[in-house]
Amino acid sequence: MGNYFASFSDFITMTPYGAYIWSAYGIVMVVTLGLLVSSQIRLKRAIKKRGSP
Amino acid sequence: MKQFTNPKTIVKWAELLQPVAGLMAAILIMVGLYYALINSPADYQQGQAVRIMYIHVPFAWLATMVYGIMAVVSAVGLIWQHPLAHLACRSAAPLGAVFTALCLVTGSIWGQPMWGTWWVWDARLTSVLVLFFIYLGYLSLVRAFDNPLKGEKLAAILVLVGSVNLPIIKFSVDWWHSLHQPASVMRLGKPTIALPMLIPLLLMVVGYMSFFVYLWLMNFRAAVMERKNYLKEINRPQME
Repeated sequence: MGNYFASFSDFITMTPYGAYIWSAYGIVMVVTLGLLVSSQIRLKRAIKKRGSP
Repeated sequence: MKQFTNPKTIVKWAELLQPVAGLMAAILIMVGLYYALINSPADYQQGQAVRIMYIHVPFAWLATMVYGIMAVVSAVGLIWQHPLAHLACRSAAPLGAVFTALCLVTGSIWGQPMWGTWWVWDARLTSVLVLFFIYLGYLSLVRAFDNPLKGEKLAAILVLVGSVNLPIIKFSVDWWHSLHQPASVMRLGKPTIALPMLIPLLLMVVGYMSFFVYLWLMNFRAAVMERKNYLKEINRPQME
């Protein structure tokens, strides 16, 4: 695991802050994916509505 | 100058730039995540918890940057009454609110193991919380009127008044005693952060800035179409 972790389990546990680090990254990933999907849905809806009479 | 401020030209540029920003964001965030999580050292004081900084700092910068952009376009909308300025502001606001929330949440998650508490009423934290409430205030005000044009004008004034909070956020760590560390990158002189940590930080910052531009342009294009539909609807003669 690069030069900074002794093993894969060391990487996962991020001794002793794994829970904090993975929860922070998890929240960011879920929220940014949500933003991406909601923005795409909004644009698609607007394009669809523009096409309708 | 007139040709660059033409609404059709602006929308055309938004369509062209959006995929470029999206591609940049995807590449930079992927590489940034590799460095942030795998190929960067632990801090001598914070240990592995320093990795939270690589997502906290980009959102902290974006929170104020997005608000700064909103203040500029609000001023353009109020002074020159450009038809797209308020739509650009309106498209950026929800993104700024979410980025500010992410800044507060990731900061809180970092604060628990480092400071021993999820939250302190520190000047930096409190001023960022105030920024979050200003975003919410803008989003409520802009939707509060049947006529969106009126709501946008009043909300633009709120944005300009609220911009007084930006220097308070920036200099809060210098003006008051604070648990929050002072600036280590955006400061006079050289950054105090070590290069192996500066690389993932800058990759994530530029990556998430590109991500913001991508989403902003997408929301802006949707807002322009929605506005055209709205104007078409209110000008349509009533059938009843």
